Amino acid sequence: MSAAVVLNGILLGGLYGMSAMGLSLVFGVLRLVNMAHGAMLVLGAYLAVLITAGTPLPLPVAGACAVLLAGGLGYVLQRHLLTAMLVRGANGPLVATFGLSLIASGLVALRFGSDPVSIPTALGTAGWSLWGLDVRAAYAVSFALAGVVAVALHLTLSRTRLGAAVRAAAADPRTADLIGIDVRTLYALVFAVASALAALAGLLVGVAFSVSPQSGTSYLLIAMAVVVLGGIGNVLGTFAGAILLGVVQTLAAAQFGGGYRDLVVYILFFVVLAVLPRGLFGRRLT
Amino acid sequence: MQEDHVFNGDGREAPELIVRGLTKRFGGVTAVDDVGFRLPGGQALAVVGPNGAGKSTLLKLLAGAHTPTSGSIEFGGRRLERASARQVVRAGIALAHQIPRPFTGLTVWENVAIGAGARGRAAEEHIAAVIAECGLQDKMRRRAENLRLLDLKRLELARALSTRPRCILLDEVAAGLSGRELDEVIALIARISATGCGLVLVEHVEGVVQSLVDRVIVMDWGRIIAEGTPAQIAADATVRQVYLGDGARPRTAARETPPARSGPPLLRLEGVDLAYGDIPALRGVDLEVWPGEVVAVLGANGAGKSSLAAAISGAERVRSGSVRFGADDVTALPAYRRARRGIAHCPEGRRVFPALSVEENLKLALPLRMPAKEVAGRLEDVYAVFPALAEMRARRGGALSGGQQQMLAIGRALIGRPRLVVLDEISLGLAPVVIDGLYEAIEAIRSEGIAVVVVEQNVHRCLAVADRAYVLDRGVVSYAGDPAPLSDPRLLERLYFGSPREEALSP
Repeated sequence: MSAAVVLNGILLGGLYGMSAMGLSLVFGVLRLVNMAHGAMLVLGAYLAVLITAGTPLPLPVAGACAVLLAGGLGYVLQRHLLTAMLVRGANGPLVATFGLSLIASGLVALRFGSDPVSIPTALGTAGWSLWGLDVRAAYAVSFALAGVVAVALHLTLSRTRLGAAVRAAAADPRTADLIGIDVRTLYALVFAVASALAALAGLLVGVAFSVSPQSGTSYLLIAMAVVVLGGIGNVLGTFAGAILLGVVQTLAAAQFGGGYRDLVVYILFFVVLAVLPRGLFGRRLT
Repeated sequence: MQEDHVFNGDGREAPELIVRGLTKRFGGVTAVDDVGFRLPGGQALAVVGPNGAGKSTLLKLLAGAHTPTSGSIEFGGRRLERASARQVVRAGIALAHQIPRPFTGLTVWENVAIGAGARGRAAEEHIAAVIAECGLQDKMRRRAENLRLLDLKRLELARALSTRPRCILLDEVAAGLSGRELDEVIALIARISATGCGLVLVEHVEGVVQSLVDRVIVMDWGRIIAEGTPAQIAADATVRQVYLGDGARPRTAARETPPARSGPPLLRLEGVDLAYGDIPALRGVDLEVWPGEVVAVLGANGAGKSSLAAAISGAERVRSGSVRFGADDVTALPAYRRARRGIAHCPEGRRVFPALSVEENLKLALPLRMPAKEVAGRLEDVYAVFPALAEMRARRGGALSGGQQQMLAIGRALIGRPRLVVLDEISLGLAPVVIDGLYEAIEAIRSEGIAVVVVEQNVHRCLAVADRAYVLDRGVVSYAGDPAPLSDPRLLERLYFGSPREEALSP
């Protein structure tokens, strides 16, 4: 019983990790707290719903389209709005992304109403037996995807020349510019990847649970807690922090009841900020 | 403990500073290794040596900022090796940092008043006297962040003096100053020394050492390798080898074959204006550089040298005027696109990426699409110019010494095979022998047919390699042409500051 709780907590952590990866990346590289991250997550789920309803495309293809669309939207937002603001300080883009998140959830509510929507698929309700323990298939798939994404991102950032360019542009954009790095395009690329990952997380949330126009805020908060836990800009740390949060939250819910789910997130957030302001694993990226 | 005992520094003979067997280890690295010396009260001692020799660490040990691993520090009969920084200040030792770190948001007066501690009329008089001594009386009410470099250095000295020290430790206070500003700081330190205050200074600027101190100790790898009067040290063969290098000798060799300036210039600036907010930095600057020539850009602090470098590379947009490179007008192009066309800018302060390895730093300046084989070849080209970098290719940029970082920054500028390189203050804060190596690299760059713009405070080094020179005075070109006449310090002084002065400039 208890082992199953822990295992489900670990797997739920994978979903949280996916939700937080983009936020961590944008925070680490652009030094920008992207308040629209939750909205992008929700938007990804609704885009998939819209595409499956309006076209004959199967869900995986529709989901891929939603992810790509979100990435494109992120690219345009960063290239043509946020970078220009970022040059003048971090406050402008912070407020701007908050505004964008309000607009996004307003538009979604206008089109779909404010009732929660879930993405109907066999995966959402399937359960598997792992090592004799019952787990939700949606959790397991999310976990695997999040792990692959975290490792891929980490290797790209740490081992490739593109990754070195991203780290250089994060640490000292002026000098990066001087030595021939197109910083604005690189920033837009990073934001695009982060947006696509948010949309992918939104898809998984929509499959495993449900989304509503307002649920962006709670996923933003969970993602923030995870990023603080794992260390800013440290994608492997983000994944590990997410697993920890998933386990703690699931255990607390099993022990004290489901009502304590969110409280646990905030307490963990608070304690880590107070005791380990650099996160459990420190800063890796820059 | 004698914590309450405050030396007031008035009228009493300054105590002797005695250091024995001082050693400081950081992990496996011995930064200061068995250093000992005696500084009789009121005398002046210079500590020189290459970058990374342990000079700044020694000063920090004396100031109580670090605790020594072993050894003793005695000042006026009091043992200070275990004392906190605050206790050391109270005992009468004050440190002026290499990079001034005043409290921003506070005025000059407030900054000095914090060090002076006590309130009341006597304290106010003391503060006013210190501020006047340091030549800041006109700027008392100005906020520290609005001061220029010379005034920041003065404030750093004033803050050290405000604690009524009996011995003052100066960490490269002359770094970044030149000409009249340098003279002023030397004169100020000489006045402090004349009051009977002991002096320990870490310094690279040779003129400062020569004119101020009684004794010099030379450090390398944490140890004292030579000790003596300034004249003895200047003649010491070991010191020449590890520290002073050949550049300390007067220059004799001139350029054999000046490049033919035929055809159109590679770079042409016309009527360039550049400003930061309302503050103009360049006004109507014209500049031309032909392929294969070395052009020196000289001027006092704040004259606009780095702004000129930024206007060439695109790091700053010009307000008006044009920048042409080859056949194209590049005025509207951002820096990264100019870099890709062949303008490399090695910025002031090196700007190495500290978290990235040497090799990653170098590769950053190459296009991502370049095939791996070509990338490897380019790396080898840079390592051929700077063999020291090859040995530490996997090391983080932040773990290099100042001289190595400068090599890395220049290598990073060269790896993209530019047609023009702008080198901004490459000798700043480096030991003479390291600067020799860098200037040899400039010769190597020129021999490849690359045009070089050298922005420098270090006038004599720079003139030695230059084919032509420009002098800037408050954003305006005050001289353009043959570098030879600029060896006359009086002419240079006039061009720097626009008004003739009687005294000669110290080299």
